[in-house]
Amino acid sequence: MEISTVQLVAFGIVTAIMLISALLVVTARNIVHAVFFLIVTLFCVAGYFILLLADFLAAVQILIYVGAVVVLIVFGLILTRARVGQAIPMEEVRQRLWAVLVSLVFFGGASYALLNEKWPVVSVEKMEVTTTSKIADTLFNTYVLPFQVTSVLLLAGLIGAIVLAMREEK
Amino acid sequence: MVADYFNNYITLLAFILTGMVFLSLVLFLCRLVAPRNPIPDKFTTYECGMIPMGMYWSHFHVRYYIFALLFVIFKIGTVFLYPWAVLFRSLGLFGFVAIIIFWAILFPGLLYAWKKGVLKWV
Repeated sequence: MEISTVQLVAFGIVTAIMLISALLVVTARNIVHAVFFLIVTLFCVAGYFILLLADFLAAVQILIYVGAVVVLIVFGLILTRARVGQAIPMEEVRQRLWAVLVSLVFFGGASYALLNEKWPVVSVEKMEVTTTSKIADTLFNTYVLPFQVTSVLLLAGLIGAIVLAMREEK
Repeated sequence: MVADYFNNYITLLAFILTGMVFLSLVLFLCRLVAPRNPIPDKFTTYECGMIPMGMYWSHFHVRYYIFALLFVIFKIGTVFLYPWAVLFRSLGLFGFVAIIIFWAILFPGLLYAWKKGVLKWV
């Protein structure tokens, strides 16, 4: 079978799973179930990255989005809503209008950007497949100093979070 | 080259599919074999044999959010470990020193958190 055919079929399957789970995220009555469907959706994004031959991004997607961002969301839920396990009655959902507005604006902006961009197309057979080692090479040989600055940035974020949270404590 | 790349992921796909099939099979067999006797007591939260108090969903203190933040920050650190580990041999001593400096800068953050008592489980 042709590689592009395999890619297309896999793209279709991943997209189908992604759309279904994304729909379930917004329609689930139990917010914890919504989080689990969000995990499936984010895994599908990693699938896209694999299909685009960006294996490093796929790994980062799973590490950061599935592993860390979802944990932050779950923590946010258990800290703010005591009733997370139960379905919230529709009458109590007050942000419906805003939700519609925000998603319409996002949809409009994303569609505009997608339709107005000239996407460069490269044949799959000609693409390079060693993204991770290439990224490692640029990161540790060309951009060592910016890489170290990243660590300072993370440190600043860490200390900033502690300072803010501890001030709240008093 | 590209064909090799996709072949690797076919192995991964086979692994995922095997996992899904195995899990559904086990759950199906369980449903087939296990006796079903749903009585209300079975649905209460298990609390060391005592009658549970309150809801099974409860508020947590904001303090625990810092645990999640610490986790996320060190997780982002692992993102840099991954490409380093892939090129570990060819990067050699230089790469090793670079990654050590990276973690040495980040490490005082953990010490600071420890000193501030963030890591205490109260």
